[in-house]
Amino acid sequence: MREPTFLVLTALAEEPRHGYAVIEDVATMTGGRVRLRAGTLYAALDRLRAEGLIEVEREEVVQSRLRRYYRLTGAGERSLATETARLRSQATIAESRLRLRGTQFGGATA
Amino acid sequence: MTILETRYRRLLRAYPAGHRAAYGEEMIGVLMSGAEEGRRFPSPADAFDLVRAGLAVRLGRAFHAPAGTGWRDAAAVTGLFSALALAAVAVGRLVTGLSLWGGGDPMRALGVDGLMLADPAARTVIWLLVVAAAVLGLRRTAVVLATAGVLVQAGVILLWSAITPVWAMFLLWQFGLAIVVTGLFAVSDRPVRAALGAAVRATGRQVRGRVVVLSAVVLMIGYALQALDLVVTEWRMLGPTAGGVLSAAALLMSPFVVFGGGVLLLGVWERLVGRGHGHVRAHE
Repeated sequence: MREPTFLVLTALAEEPRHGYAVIEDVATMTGGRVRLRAGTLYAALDRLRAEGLIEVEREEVVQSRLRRYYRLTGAGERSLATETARLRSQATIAESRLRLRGTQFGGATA
Repeated sequence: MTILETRYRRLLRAYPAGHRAAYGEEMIGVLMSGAEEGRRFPSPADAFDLVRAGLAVRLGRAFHAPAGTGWRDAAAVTGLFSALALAAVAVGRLVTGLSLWGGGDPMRALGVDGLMLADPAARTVIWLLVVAAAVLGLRRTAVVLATAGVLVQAGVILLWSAITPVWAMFLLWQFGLAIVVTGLFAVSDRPVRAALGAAVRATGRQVRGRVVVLSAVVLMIGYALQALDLVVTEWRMLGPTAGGVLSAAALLMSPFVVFGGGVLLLGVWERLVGRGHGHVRAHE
């Protein structure tokens, strides 16, 4: 799973959101590091919908603009959980190895 | 509509019409929400992202088209047509060669009697096998045999370059088409018979249209490769001259001009026909 996909699923895990709200939430979550652009966002949304990981919850028209709210499906929840576990186990391995280096070598040389 | 929105809409044309119908309005909303006050042009990064994503959707549709768009069926049918064409060319050569042989010509090459017949014989056998596998509905076998066909075509080019180098080039287009046939069978996802069935049905208009488009592309590739070998042969004999360069450019460009013109015409026609139907909203 690529990072934008993971972040979009995470944004929708909290509550159903429309496209622009997803962009803003991802930006907040990542401390401004990731600001999804429309092309990237909709590539992810379209694929996730096709895979059945998200679905349209409702549509609204606000100031004559169409807003479509997306929500996580059961399959999306499982997929996000699997990916989270994978990332966590990798992070744990990296963390323990870094700790080991710290005690063996007293920090990185050069 | 503000000038910025018009410009965003223009960028969205990078997406196929179906995708625009499903997501266009929503994306405009997102783009306009993200645009700061007073902006008149889309930011270059946004523009690049839209064009990249739009083209990716188009390419994705073309290469791993989801079932039901007709491209895969069209690929199977066009693959069969192209394999038939290669088989027919080989059979024609073989018949000519055999009649020469019967007339007393030893068809001698590299000191071996009858070796010249090896080329059309090998091509006849492999392409007839490909056609047979396709017609029998053995899709995977057809892919494997077509791959063998590519090797056979490469082999006969090597054979001829050992006999008479000038002749070897004349087989270039067949080598190109062999690769194309393999690709077409590889992207098709069901036996040719089922695909043909889908194409001839009254509802198969879309598939038939795509067969026409793919066949045009195959012909264009064949033509361009033949033009290329003509140009190379001419330059080898005469060296590059101003007239030669010009005629080479005209030869190589013409299929693209014809094909591009055709696509343009179709586009204009589609737009004229589509006028008055209003906007179709394709989302569920």
